[in-house]
Amino acid sequence: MGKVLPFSDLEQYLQSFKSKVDGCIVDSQFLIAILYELHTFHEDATILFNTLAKYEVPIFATVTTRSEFLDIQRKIIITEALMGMLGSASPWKLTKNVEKMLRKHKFWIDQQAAKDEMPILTDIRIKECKETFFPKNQSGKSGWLEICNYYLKDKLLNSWSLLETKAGINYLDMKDPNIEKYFPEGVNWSEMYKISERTCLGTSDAMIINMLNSSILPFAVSADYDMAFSIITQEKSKTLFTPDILFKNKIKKLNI
Amino acid sequence: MESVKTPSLEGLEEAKNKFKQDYNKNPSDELVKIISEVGEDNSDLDYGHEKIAIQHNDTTIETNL
Repeated sequence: MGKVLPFSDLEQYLQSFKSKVDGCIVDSQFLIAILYELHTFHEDATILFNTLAKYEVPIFATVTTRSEFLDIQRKIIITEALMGMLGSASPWKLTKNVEKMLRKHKFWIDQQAAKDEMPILTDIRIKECKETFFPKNQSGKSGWLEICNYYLKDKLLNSWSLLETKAGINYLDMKDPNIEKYFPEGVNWSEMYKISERTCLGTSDAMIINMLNSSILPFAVSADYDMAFSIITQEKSKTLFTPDILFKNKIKKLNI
Repeated sequence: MESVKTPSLEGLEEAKNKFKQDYNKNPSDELVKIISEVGEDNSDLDYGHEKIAIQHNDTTIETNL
């Protein structure tokens, strides 16, 4: 049976191993949480990262994790740029339409933050901003292209690169010939469908669990209830660490 | 995968600071100027080009090029 434990149990769990742990797989929310101070689980994730560093446990990210991380990163940067236009000391001179549209989204963002949800714009909201900023101005330039060029250019590549080269995150490149060490029997991709179908888990998360199950790595880290539900109800013996508040409020009662 | 890295606290701090710089970046004067001109109703914009009339079926459409 799979097992789900709170972040605060990690140190005790790691001490139960006689030798160094081969590593763990993390999801995109964990990577965002360690970087972004406004993330609900920033503090918990930072403490967990410190424990992993203390015990020299390698952190692995899958292709799905990287893709989702970059997507959230994109939304954070553009949300901060757009919402920053409304600051009282802001140098921006906004047209009435733009200001009205931004205030509407700011109201929603504030509501998200009040609910402890991630205060970032959804793609539908970003699309609305894109349309409002798009018309060419008198100088013939598109506001939206200029915003993206100024705020996003090279940022996504750089942020992932910093995680790998500085923070010590390892990317699980399945084309790497040395990957066999972690996946001695390879990865059976058809298992991903079964994992998704069993608990109606999103396919991105199912891919991460499939990688975990196929690997020699004993545990994963995620702040996602669906991932926890999937792990706790599977026969394969793997462990998932989840933030304490999530464990206390939602997961504990699932542990059989 | 030849050399597997372990988590680095200093490296994480560096990545965090860089990320913070990215999303707290102050706008350039040029970007402020460009944005000050977008978002209003397109029909009010004058691109400084001549207006021409296009005959389409039975309707005459006046447009900017």
